[in-house]
Amino acid sequence: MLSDKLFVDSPNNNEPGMGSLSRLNILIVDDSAHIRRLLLSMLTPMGAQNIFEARTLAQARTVLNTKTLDLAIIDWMLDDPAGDGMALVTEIRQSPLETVTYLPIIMMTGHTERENIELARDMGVTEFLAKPFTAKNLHARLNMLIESPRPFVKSRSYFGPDRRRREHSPIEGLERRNTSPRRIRST
Amino acid sequence: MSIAPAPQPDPATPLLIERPNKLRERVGGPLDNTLAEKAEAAVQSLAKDFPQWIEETVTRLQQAHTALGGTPITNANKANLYTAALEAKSLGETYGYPLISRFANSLCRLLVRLPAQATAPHALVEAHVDAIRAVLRLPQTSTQDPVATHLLGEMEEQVRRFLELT
Repeated sequence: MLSDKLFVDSPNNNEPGMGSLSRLNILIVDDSAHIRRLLLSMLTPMGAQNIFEARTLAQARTVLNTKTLDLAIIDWMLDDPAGDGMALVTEIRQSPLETVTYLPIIMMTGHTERENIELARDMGVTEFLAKPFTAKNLHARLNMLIESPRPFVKSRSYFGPDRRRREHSPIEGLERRNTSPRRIRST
Repeated sequence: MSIAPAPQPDPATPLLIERPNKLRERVGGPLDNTLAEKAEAAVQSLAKDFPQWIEETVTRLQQAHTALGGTPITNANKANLYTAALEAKSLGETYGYPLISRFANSLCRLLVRLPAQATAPHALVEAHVDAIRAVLRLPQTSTQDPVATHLLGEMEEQVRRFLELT
């Protein structure tokens, strides 16, 4: 029988150190207790100690408002009448809190059609984890976030991670053709 | 002598905001590959629960299908069935039932590409749901069962033809 206990820190016996998730605060948002347990079982051996679980948008908001997070792993399809995972991504990117608005987001999805991936990118998702996924897939996505973070782009129609992961062509569509982005470094 | 005001940035120009890599700073470097292997092993330690979990997933799919009764399946009412099929697709392989993922993927394809005014053929939907239930009785990791793979090929073909004709 699965525990439905939420907002618990996961016990971890790994020594904290280099290349470990031990110092990260990680939010998992999924209505499936099975998937949350799977993710816990994958993240814990990677050193994760502070994992906050939410199965609804309301629970996710509580964590976002009370914890300083380093990473969110969100399922697109949530069994929650208040909205799906993409609604949460929108809220995060529109948050007035800088610690929230720039949060790296991994979106878990079985919606792997190209148009859905593009839609999610346009909403501000940082990386995708296509279902079904393995621990190796998750590990690869985490390393992508750690080693190749996307800069953020702010334009009239978009705010979120650079959708192309390229150094010199960060803007898509008309804006890319008509303008060159101004670069700023944020602390 | 007057000093010309500094040019103001055009608000229409997109900003590229480069931030310090705090994630790398806190993690300390890339995650070693051995951590992925440890994580795979940890997932395997849950394997004893997978049969029960997949059973629950398939039951949810059946319930979503049963709830539709004889109602024509359209874009307006397919949401719960699609969500359940997507879950079966997503979890089947993770739980060691790759054939369930493949049947569910075929059902997802039918539902997600259903044209605006079309109705999904009940018999084809039902055949997918029944096949997924039947696959549960096969050995867990079987991907080569000749009957199941033949049936899967037939259903994928029927989905392809239906979507082509509608």
